[in-house]
Amino acid sequence: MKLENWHLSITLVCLLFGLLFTSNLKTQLQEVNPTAARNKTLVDFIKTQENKNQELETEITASRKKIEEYHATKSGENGLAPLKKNIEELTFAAGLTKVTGPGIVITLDDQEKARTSKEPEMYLIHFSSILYIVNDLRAAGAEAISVNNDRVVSTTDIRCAGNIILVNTHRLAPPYRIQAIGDPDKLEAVAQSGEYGFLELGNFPVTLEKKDEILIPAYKGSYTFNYAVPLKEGEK
Amino acid sequence: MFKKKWQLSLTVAFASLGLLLSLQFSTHKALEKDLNSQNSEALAAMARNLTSKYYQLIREVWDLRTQLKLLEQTADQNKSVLEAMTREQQKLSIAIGSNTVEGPGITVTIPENDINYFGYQDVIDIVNELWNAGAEAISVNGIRITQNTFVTPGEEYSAILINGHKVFYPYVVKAIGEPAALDKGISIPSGIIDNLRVVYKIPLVIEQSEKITLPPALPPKFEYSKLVTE
Repeated sequence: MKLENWHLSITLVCLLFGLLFTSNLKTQLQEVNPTAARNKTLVDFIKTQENKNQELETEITASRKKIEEYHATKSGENGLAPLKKNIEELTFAAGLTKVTGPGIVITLDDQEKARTSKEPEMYLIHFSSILYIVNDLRAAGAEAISVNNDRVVSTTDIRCAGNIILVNTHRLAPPYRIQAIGDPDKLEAVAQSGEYGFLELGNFPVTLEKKDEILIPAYKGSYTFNYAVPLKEGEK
Repeated sequence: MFKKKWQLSLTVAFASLGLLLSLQFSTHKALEKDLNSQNSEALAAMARNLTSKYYQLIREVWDLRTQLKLLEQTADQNKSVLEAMTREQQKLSIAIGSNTVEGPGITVTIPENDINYFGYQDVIDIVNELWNAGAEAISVNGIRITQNTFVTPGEEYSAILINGHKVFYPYVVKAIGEPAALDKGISIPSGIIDNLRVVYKIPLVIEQSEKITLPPALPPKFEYSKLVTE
């Protein structure tokens, strides 16, 4: 088959048409949404603040590591070994270290219908589903949990702003990936009979997989206690 | 022959168009979860949360810097190392809920009522909302909330189990933190507390107090998790 000039032309024309059409759609989308312009200040503020917070989290992670090294070298000289061991256990328990073990991985996504439906709310994954799945996994004895790349610790909050889900005040993008370390069979059974099962029945694109080894990241945020004071009796 | 070429060109053209269209759609999908497509209230709430988190992080940075300073001091080393380590030990104990803590805060009480609506998920929601409002430690009916706490429905309608143990009315949620901030934080319009009060007419009571004492929980046990050293 010979390629003739007009073949190329028609392709180019169609390509051009497509390009124009799509860019047109894009512009229209922005026009239908005047809030985009109005909220620009807020969006800029959020992005700047997210960067600042991320910098602080990086510093926190680095400092924690440095402190750990100091503990390791100094406690030996000074007979503080038992205290050091206790702190190591607490650091692990508080989710400040990366952990690995068997468990399950759950993924959740919005339904395709959310894009076309007049009531997209019905087809979106809501923060409450993630919150309740985390609760179910805890009931199944999960030892460590993460959502996307955020470690879920005692003080973790799972919320939404508009249709964006936030964990530890970090924005998440779908698909949502929930990991839990523990007895894989038990985690699976309890998840199936809880919120995960509901989503599955509701035709959401969800998956659940048992794994021999999963990796859960360390908690990068703060533990700040300005008001809570430990009582003396509880201490050594 | 001519017909065939014509078909080929058209196929190529439509394929390109289709590709572009699908690209456009995927852009659309990404936009839906973009900051720019959220309303002002959502953005304002997000900005507020990021700011309060920023102050928490700053505080943590200072705390860690102080610890490092203590550890770096050469004079009177033993004492400062011990001080730094004890601080860290206390902080982490509060984080995992293994010690008794006290401080100012708020108490949310859900008294026995005829509405019979309040359920286990409301407990999860209130606790979640309190963490967001800046709570430092929480208990429900005398049970300290940790990363292992779970709230499940009982066999009878509306019964609530915490860690597998049934709890009874009145449900009392206590949280340590800045009382006014906690109160304001959980009482936001159309938030969980507002809904329970206005929509479901639950007669819940919020009280600010200067001193609240929360009991310890058992430290967590690890059977499956292994430390990953970097």
